[in-house]
Amino acid sequence: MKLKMKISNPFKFDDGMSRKRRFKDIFRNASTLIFSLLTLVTLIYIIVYIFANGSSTLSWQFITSDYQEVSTSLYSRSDLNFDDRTFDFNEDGGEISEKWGVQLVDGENNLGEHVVYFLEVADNSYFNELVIGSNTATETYNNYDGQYISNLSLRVDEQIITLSSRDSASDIVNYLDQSNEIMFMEICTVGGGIRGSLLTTIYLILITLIIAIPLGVCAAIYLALYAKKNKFTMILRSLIDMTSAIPSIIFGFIGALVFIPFMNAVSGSNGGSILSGALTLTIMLISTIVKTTEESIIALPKGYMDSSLALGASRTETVFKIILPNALPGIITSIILSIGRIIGESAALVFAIGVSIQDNISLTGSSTSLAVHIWSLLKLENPNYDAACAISIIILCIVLVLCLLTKIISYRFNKKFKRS
Amino acid sequence: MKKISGVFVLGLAAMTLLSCGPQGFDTSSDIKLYTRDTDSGTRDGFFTKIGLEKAKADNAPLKTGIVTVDSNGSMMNSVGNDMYGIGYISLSTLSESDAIKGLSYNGVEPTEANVLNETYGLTRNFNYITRKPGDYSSTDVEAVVNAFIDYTFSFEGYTIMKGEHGIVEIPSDVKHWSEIASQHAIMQRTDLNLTINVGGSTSVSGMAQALTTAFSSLFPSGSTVKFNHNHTGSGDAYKNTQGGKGLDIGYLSRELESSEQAVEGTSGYMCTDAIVTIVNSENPLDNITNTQLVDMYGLNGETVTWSQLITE
Repeated sequence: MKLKMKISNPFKFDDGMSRKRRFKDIFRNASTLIFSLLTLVTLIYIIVYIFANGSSTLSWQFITSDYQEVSTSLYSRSDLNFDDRTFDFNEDGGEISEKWGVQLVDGENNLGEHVVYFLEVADNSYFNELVIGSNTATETYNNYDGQYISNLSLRVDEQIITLSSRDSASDIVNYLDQSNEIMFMEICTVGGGIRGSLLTTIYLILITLIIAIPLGVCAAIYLALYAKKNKFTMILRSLIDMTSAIPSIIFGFIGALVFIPFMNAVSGSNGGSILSGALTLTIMLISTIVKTTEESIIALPKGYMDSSLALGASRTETVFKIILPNALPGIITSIILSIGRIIGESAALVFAIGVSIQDNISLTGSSTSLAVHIWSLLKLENPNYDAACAISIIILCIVLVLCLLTKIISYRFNKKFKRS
Repeated sequence: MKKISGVFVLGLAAMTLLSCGPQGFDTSSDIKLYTRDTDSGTRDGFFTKIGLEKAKADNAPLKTGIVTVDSNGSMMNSVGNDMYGIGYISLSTLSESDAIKGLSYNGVEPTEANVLNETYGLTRNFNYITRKPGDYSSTDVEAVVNAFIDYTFSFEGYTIMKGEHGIVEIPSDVKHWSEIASQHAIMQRTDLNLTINVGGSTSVSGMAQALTTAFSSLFPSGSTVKFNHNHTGSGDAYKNTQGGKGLDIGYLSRELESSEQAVEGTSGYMCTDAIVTIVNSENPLDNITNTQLVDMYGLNGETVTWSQLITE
């Protein structure tokens, strides 16, 4: 039932009220307004904070690159001689070492730290004559694209100058131009990407849903259509309700105690894996799926069942051909809610999968989801808030899309029944 | 509608007013002390060097109301957000925040040059410890750890340590890795699939990660050697290597205690790091002495407000 109240202006009152009542009303209205404003301001602040800090880090490269850096150790050969060659560069900007034929540029890695990238290495650059492993090796290296200088030791006038990615590009070029020998140079691919965690999250969603939907939907059909109204069913229902109220950390250590040893025995994995995580999430989500599906079945007009039976269809036929297709929007809503829960879940997964961020994902190997990835970033020696915010933006966007989908589906669902 | 939006604007204005506290540094304010947890090597080094040694593993000799934080990062955040706070971090992390500033110690600025010529006194050493020989999960792991320790003290290792703000002079007789690698047959294997667990001091974690990233790329294709980093504090370095299980290599940002007896040849010195006393960048203070610090942190010290240090 809807209360019909005129709330166009809460501070304007009919005359004839006593002063005491009017004062009370003003107090009540003002407090609702203040509290709703406070909530609004906090929410806006969180979203603005996340977007302001995360948007600079968020890039396609951040999403698709690996977390681990791969480094290469390079040396200039002891018999390297400089001739009078000149270099052509196509790129603008950055700092050019005319002696070695490289163009370096200041930049940031995915963790927001300053690094010096290779902008361009000229085709005839001495850098293409550097060798891997030692200064007497013969294997040359020429793939500098997208890599940065991690560490660099140069011999300048019998002195050893050590530089790192924290030094500026102009400093490095300055010392390079004075030096004839690269005693050791470590170059790295850019790490800190979230590809592995994103893939893990997708795997988790798929596997969890594949297991949880059949279990949940069948349980819901049983409870809504077949179960007799007795004590047993009542206890079953309240148990399912209770499951949805258990804190996720408890599911987490149940996962660690039950599912990790189980998966280790079954698949030969070692420690937490995507499968053990998915099983834990399944247990968590079944109650949501059962409740939502059951409600959407109960909400169907009773005439559907009766007319189908009256036309000669069996009970089973009615359930699978009439009830389930009509309850589909409710089931889809429950799936979308579950996906949202999987993406946001962290406490349970810390135990059930583990926290190590991986790039090569396998179902039986350890890896981590996006939400736990955030946790891992913040527990570092220097917490990386920017990257955490960037991941938050991704999660927020996914959740927003899911919310819109749920709204559209339930809107269509309601419209359909209003027509009938 | 006009009124509602009016109230909305009013509410926002009130929020902004509330969030802006009084501006400027008020010297009559109390000093807010921050310290690291007792597992921290930075804490050990700080209290040992300022002469408050009994405080390194216990909060009891310190003033009440002291705030304990559990990493360099949260120390920087805490002091950066607290105008009247004072704390201490590793020099290598000082440049990462504008909200804090490092103080000179006994009149000497905290720079790498001043640490190398031994005028800056507030320093500590970075050390490593490995498992006992024969106590590894496999002989392959042991061989890789031994090779890695040799790599740390090769020319390449020193370069990386210096790149990660380690303060050390590269010895003149240091060898390149290519000259040492031949002593380690494990480096030629193409069938390795190992995970090495590394942990210990949080201050050394950046350096340890840089070293392991470079080292793990040196194996021939076919072998994968992964280093799993879990840095929780110097206190866990001995405890989880020779004192128990969990780590293959542990790092300490302090010396081994007398209760932590390492088997000979399984531990050693890597490089030096400076500890910097930090205050909020609004704070006018530039220099601090060890006696001032003891008076500030010690339970019986008399310094409680900033005006006792800052004379205008």
